[in-house]
Amino acid sequence: MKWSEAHLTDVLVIGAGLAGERVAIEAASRGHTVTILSLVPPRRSHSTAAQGGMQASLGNVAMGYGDNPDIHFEDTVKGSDWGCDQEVARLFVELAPVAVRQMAQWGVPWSRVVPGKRTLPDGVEVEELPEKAGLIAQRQFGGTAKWRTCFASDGTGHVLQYAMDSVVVKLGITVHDRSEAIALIHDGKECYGAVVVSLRTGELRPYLAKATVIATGGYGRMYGVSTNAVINEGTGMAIALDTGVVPLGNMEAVQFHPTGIVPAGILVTEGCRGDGGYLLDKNLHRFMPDYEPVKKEVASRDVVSRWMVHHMRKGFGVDSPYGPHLWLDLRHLGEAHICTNLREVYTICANFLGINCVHELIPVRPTQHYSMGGVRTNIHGEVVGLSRLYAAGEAACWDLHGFNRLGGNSLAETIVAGMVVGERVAEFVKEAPLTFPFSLVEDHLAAQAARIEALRRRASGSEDVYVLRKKMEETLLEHVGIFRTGEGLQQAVATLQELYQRSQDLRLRSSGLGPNPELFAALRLPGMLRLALCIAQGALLRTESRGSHYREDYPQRDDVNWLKRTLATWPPGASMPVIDYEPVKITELPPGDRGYGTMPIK
Amino acid sequence: MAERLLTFSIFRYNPATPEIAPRMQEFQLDETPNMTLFIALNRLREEQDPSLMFDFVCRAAVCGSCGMLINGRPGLACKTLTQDLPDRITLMPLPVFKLVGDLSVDTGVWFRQLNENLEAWIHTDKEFDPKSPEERMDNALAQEIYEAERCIECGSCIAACATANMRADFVGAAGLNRIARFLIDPRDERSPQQVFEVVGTDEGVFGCIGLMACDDICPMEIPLQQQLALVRRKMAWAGLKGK
Amino acid sequence: MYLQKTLAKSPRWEAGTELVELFTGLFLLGFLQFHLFAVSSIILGQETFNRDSQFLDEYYISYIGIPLVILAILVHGLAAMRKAPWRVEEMRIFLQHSRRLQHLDTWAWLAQILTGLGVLVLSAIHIWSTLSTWPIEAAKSALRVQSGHFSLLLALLVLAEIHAMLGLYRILVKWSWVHRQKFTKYLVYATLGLVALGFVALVVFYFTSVKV
Repeated sequence: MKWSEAHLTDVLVIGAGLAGERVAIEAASRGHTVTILSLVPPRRSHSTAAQGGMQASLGNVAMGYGDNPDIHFEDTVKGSDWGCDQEVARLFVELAPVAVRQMAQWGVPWSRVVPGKRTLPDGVEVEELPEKAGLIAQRQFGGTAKWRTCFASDGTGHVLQYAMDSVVVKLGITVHDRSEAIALIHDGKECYGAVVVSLRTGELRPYLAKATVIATGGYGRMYGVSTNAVINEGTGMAIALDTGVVPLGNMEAVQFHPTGIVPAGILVTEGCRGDGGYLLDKNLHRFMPDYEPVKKEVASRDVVSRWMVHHMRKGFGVDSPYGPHLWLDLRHLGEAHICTNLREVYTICANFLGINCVHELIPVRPTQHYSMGGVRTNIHGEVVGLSRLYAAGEAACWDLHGFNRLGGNSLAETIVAGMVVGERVAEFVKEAPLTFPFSLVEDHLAAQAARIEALRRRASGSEDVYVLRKKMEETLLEHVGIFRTGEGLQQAVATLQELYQRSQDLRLRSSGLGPNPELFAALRLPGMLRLALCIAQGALLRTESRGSHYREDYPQRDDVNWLKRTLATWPPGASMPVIDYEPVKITELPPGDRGYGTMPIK
Repeated sequence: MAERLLTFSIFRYNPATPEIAPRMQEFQLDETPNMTLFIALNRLREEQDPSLMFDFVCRAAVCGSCGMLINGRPGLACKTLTQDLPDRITLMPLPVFKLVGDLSVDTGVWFRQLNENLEAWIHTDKEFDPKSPEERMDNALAQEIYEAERCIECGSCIAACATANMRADFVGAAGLNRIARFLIDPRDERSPQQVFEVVGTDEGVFGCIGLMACDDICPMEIPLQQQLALVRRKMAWAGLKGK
Repeated sequence: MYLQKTLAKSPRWEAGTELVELFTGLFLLGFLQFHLFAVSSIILGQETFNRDSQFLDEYYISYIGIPLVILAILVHGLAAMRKAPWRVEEMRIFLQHSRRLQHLDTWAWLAQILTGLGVLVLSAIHIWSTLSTWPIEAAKSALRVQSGHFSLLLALLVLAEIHAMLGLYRILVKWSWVHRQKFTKYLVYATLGLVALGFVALVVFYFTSVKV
């Protein structure tokens, strides 16, 4: 390594989705030098795929009048099944409206309130008042007492990301896309940056910074069938875990979205149900009111997903070559509505299913969607266990979502967390000097160079990266899914442990030269398996059911023993994570009934 | 449907091994129901050649990563079903953009440069006040802005454009559509004259010769003919009016 | 920034050139159709043709019009050529691109360039031969058609009409509000109709008896 190739910056942000870019903007607009690393060009980040919307208690629409942060807070805490940090939730609900309005000023074409009367699909008549005309419109999402989700037609994530990135461009923030941080440079106390491999050339380069921010999103792709983009492989969480000192919080809290299409696994938005779509079984019976008389299709995602799988297990699923599924019915919403507010759903159905959802039913089934867990931080986004390191967005366990995230709260979280964490980062780097121990950087770089060199040499090893990966995906999907049992989880842990051992013995089939995809996959796999073990082991030990974590052998929430957050660390050289716990902060709303999602499921 | 054996002819070049000249390489794969090029290319990589380079991100036609020449025409590979293609499928990387390797091209840097040149952001002197409610906007206008904002910068229109192929500095349909988006947005306080200084040129809107491959090929079906005409009229008018 | 580019950059000039191309194009389009209809008066008989010709001559319309048309052809040609692929590399890029893409509108540009060049050459010959037997009379014209100019004039007719209609198509595509699918077929009909009219006029000339 030549020292002249080291990249120096005040703030290094890993990940260019909404959270990462928002942190970068906050730091850059306060005068600091910021570098963003990204696997892909920022505008291709997975944030763009969020179709539905962003929750903020503006109270602009008829069904949302009287909304305020308190109600949003209550919905969020109930949604999390009391697993979230209530201080964080409070901060979040107060700032969400600010975030929405700031994005409006940055150019987001939010859909707006059109005054007048209209009849909703369920027959209720509402009137949008003239004095609210032109304010930001809101739609219904699951698990909310009020209509609160701000949206821009069918592409909210897309327009948010484009507006956000336009500010990044405006501020001239350096973005190095096609770059992957494969290790953090740290001494067990402080983080000094990252070792980065260029996905253009396969070359290594150290990035050194006063503060490093992990904003790499989730790990959905570890489940194989996921709504996530193919880049969501948990890389940021994995390098944090790799330090041996940073804990990952609540990794067993994995969200399954009720409506992934079958078989492609592509998401159709919660807006489908929020706007009045129904779920039907093989007899074309609308079954959700049987289970959830009040919330029906718009209970929280964990609850709807669970009922759907339950209903299919009872034999009401529609048989297909890809296993049983259910139907999503939008037909009664009408062509005009589907082709504007749900146009993306229309296009997805046309492209990937070859059907017209104005006239036909959409085959859906719950599909891995979101990771509530992640790099554990405090309310300021400072990572626990390592100073000068921060995390935000889905990659972090800030802990806004506890054991289940509400739809529309993830886009809102990325931006609000970006504001909050960005401010703290900016304050920190103002005072902090840019120093780093030379030998430490060289050691970390040499370690990664040795890994790459060994893989390229192909002198030893026998395991195929794609074979192991497929096995990991199957294991997680089968045993660490919506319904979990002690037995299945034990089996999953055993299989994953074996795969992890085998992943130490990879051998490339190709040369590994240049921007070689097999090399990059091989570099990622061991880290992914470590994450998988954190998820499975955490799920095995948590002998209760909470939010998205449902144990058939422990079907009740257990606030006496389990009102706590799982923390997983990975000591250097270990073959299993060390699992620890910390109490959940309850400041306002003590544990109670969610109002939906009766347990146990019978 | 009878099972077909598909023949893929794929452009190969790895900049790390310049001694191996660019070439077309053939692969064969049995077709499965509803197979997209996303599925096909991943299978080729996992089963036949793990060094094969290509880009996918969302695999749901919303991120714009997987633009490539499919039998000569630019398109998104993720939403292209093999059943719509003949037995023989030729895949090449998009022209105009710098090659990363095989089917992968560098659209990110190109578009970042474009957006910098066009100053594609909201220009305003207004300070953001976190306490005040949002400024109102007519929903119809919001929809109109959204229509242009739907561009995913996949580069298909650029690759399909003869002018962009010949002249490196041409902004292309994606750039002009981006300008159209800001021209109709009242939040952007730039006057048409200010925009004219940026795109009223032969690198900008007057470089377009109206071949309309962009309009025919746009995977998002953005009405590019109308968007480009809008910019052209506004820019010609701004040019005539002067400062 | 680059000194030479910064000093030379002038959106106003570049926009101006585009507008010059547009308006000379429209002017020539108008002239071409006017010319076609004027010449086609031969179908109604030699007297009609000669009366038209004399009318234009008498009021000096020809003396203003013809130089203007020549100027317009030159200016339009120069303005339009600035976009064409003249360098060998550009030409190869364009041809390979068109072959890969198999896109009608892109091929149409090649047709536009080639017909434009053809019109430039043939119209020069046509103007020269017409001016050298000034004034325009039915008999002289008929003689020209019968003494070997038939195929030249037919080629000029076809090339000029195709070029003009492609140009009009391009103008509508570039400037109008209407999607091109809505007007394409009318332009094709118009082209066929106009070429047919010109062809009939040429045939009439060919069979007009000329007293030597």
